[in-house]
Amino acid sequence: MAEVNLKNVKKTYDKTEVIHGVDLDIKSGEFIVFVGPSGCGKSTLLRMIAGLEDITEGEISIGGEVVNKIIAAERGVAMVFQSYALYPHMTVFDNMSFALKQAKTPIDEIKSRVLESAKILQIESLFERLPKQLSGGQRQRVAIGRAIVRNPKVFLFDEPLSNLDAALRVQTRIEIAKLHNQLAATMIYVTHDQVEAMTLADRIVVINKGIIEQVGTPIELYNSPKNQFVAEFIGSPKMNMINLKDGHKLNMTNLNIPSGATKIGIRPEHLNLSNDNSSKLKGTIRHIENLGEHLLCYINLEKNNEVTAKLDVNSSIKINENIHLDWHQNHQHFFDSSGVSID
Amino acid sequence: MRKLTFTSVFSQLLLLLFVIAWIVPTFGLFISSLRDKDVLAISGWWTSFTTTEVNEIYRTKGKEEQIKEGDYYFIKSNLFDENQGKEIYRFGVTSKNIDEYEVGETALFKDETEITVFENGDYIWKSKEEFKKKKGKRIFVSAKSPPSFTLNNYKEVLLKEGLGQAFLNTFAVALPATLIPLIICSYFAYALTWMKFYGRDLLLATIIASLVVPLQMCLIPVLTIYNDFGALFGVSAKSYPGIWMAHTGFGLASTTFLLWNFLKTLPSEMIEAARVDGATHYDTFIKIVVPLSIPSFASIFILQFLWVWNDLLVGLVFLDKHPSEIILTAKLKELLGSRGENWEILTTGAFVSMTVPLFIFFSLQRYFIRGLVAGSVKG
Repeated sequence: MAEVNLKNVKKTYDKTEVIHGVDLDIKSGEFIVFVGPSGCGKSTLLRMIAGLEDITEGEISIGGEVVNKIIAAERGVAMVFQSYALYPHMTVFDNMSFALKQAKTPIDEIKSRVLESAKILQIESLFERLPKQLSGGQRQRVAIGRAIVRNPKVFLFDEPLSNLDAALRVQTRIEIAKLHNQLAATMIYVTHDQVEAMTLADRIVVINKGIIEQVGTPIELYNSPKNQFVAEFIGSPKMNMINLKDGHKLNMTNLNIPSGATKIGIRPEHLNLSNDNSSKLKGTIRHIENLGEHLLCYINLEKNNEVTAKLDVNSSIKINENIHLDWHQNHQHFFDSSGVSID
Repeated sequence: MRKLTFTSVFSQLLLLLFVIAWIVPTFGLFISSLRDKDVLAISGWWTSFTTTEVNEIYRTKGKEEQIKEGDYYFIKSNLFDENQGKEIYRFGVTSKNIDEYEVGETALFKDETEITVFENGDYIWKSKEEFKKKKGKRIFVSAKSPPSFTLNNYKEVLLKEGLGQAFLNTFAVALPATLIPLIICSYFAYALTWMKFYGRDLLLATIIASLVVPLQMCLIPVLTIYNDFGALFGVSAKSYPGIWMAHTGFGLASTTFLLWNFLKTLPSEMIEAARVDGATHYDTFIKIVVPLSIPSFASIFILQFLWVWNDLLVGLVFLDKHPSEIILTAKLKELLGSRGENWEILTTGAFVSMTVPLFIFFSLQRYFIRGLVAGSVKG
C-alpha cells in the first residue's frame, strides 16, 4: 500500500509529445481508473508508472520515493496485462512463483504465498496446468494471482477484461472490486469501458489527447462534468448536446441560460415525455429501440439535429409521431464555446 | 470432399511429379549400393528385383579331389563357391557352344571324360583314367539368378576406402558449425528484438544486406587472413576450429535473420511481464525466450546442419585432404576421380552421404517446413 504521485509527467516519442504534463495524486489504498478513448495516452501513463516506458519529463513517486530511475521490478508494482501475458511453457504454479523465484525468496515462503493468493482467487486446483489448458477467465485469474503473490505496493491493470466475453467480464469485474476491498491495496486500472470505470473506481481520471480532463468520483463526473468531453464520455448513451444558437426549436423561457453558454446538455435518461405545449423541446420520432427495460428513442429536431431519449417501455409512442420533451432543471448542463461547463 | 478444380488437379499432379523425380533416383541409388559389384556393372538397378538370366564361366576342381569308385575315377563337387541360389538350365564345355547341353545331360570332353551338371551346380566328372591335371576344366553355364543383395559394398567403402573416417570428419565439422552460430545468433536475435540500443535498426539492416553477399566472394579473403594468422602463430591455416569459424561466419546473417523473424512474433506483453517480475534480459532470454523458441531453434538447426553437411566448397578450402580431415563430399569427389569405374563404390558412397540428411528430413520434417516458412505464418 502506497500513494502514487505524478508531477508534471510528460512523454515524448521522437519529438511527438503524447502526454502533456500530468499532475495526479493517488491516495494509499485508492482504486483509480484511467479512462479515455483509444490512443489518449492512458496506457502509456500506466506503463510509465510500471517502469516499462521512460519518463521524458516530470516525476513519478510511489510511496514518497521518486521512481524515475528505478527499474520496473524494484518499484514494488505488479501489472496485469490485457493479453494475460502468462508464460506459456510454465505451469500455473511456476507462473505465479516466477517473480518470487527471481527475487530469491526461500522455497517455503514461495509455496505459502502462492497458496495464499491462489486461495483468494480459488485457483489452487489449477496449479499443475499449463496456460493453454485454461479458459480465458481462469487465465485472467492466474494473471491476477501472479500480481497478488508479489504483495506489491501498487496494482496496475491494463484493460484486463477486454479479452473476456460479456458475462465473464461482469463476473471478473465484481471479483476485482471484491479483491480491492479484501487487499485494501492501491490499484490503478486502465480501461476504455466507462461501465468498468463507473463501477470499480473510487475516483475516475478522464484522459483525452494526453491531458487529464477531469478527476473525480464516478458520481461527480456524472453529475457535474467539467467540460463537454467528460459530459459526453461518461454515461451511455452519451449526453445530448443542443446548440443554443438554433434556439427556435427550444422553448427558452424556462431555461435560465447563463451568460456565455452556447450549448445545453441533457442526458437521455433525464428526458421525459410531456403533453404540454409549453414543454422545452419538440421533435419527431425517427427510430425506436426496445431494450426491454426501457426504450431508446432517436428524435429528430428541426435542422437535422437529433437527440436520444431513454423512455419508459409503456410509453405509447410511434415512429414519425411528433412529441414534446421536458426535463428537470437540475439535470441540465451548459457549456461555453470552448466546451467548458458553466454552472 | 474437396472440389476438383483444374488448379488442384494440376498441383496434385505436379506434386506427384516432384515426388517421383526425387524418390526414383534416391531409391535407385540405394538399390544399386546393395547389389553385387559384378551385376551392377552390367545391368540396371531395376532388373535386380526379378530373376535374370546370366551366362557365366566356372572351373571344375583339379586332380586332388578325385576319388576312385570301381573302375572309374570321379570328381564330385559344386561349381559355385557359395550358395547364391542360382539355377542352371543349360551348360556347355566349349567356348564355341556355351549352351550345348540341357541341365542333367552328360557332356563329353575331347579327352573322352564325361561330365554331368545339375541344376544347383553339382557336377559329376567321370573318367576311365586317373585325372592328371592340377587345373580343372572350364564349364560354361546359363543360369537364372534370383534377386540378391549384399552389404559387402558398404563394408568395402566404409572400412577400406576411408569413407567411414570421412563420415566422422563431416560430423566433427557439421555439429559445432551448426551449434556455434545457433548459440551466438540466438543471443544476437534476442538483443535485436527486445533490447533498445543505439544503432539497432542500422545493425539489422546490415545483416539483411549481408544476406545478399555470396559466400564464394569471401572464401579467398578469409583464407588469406587464416594464412597470415597461421603464419604468425606457426599453426596450420587449415584446421577444424578454422572451418567452424568459417561456417559460423557464413551462417551468421541468415541464422540471425530467421531467428529474429521468429522472436519478434513472441508477445511483447509477456516479455514486459517478465521485466516487471524482476527478470533481467539474461533471465528473460534463458527462462522465457529459449524454452518457447525450441521449435524454431530445431528448424534452424536442421537448415544449417544440412547446409554444412552437403557443403563441398568451404570444406575443400578450409580443410586439408589428409584422411583425418577430409570431409565426406570432398572424399566422394576424390573417389569420383580415382575410382570412377567402380560404380559400387560411388553409389554406396553417395548413399552413405545421404543417410544423415534423409534421417533428419524424415524424423524432423515438421520443423524443417516450419524453418523454411519462419515468420510467414504465426505460431
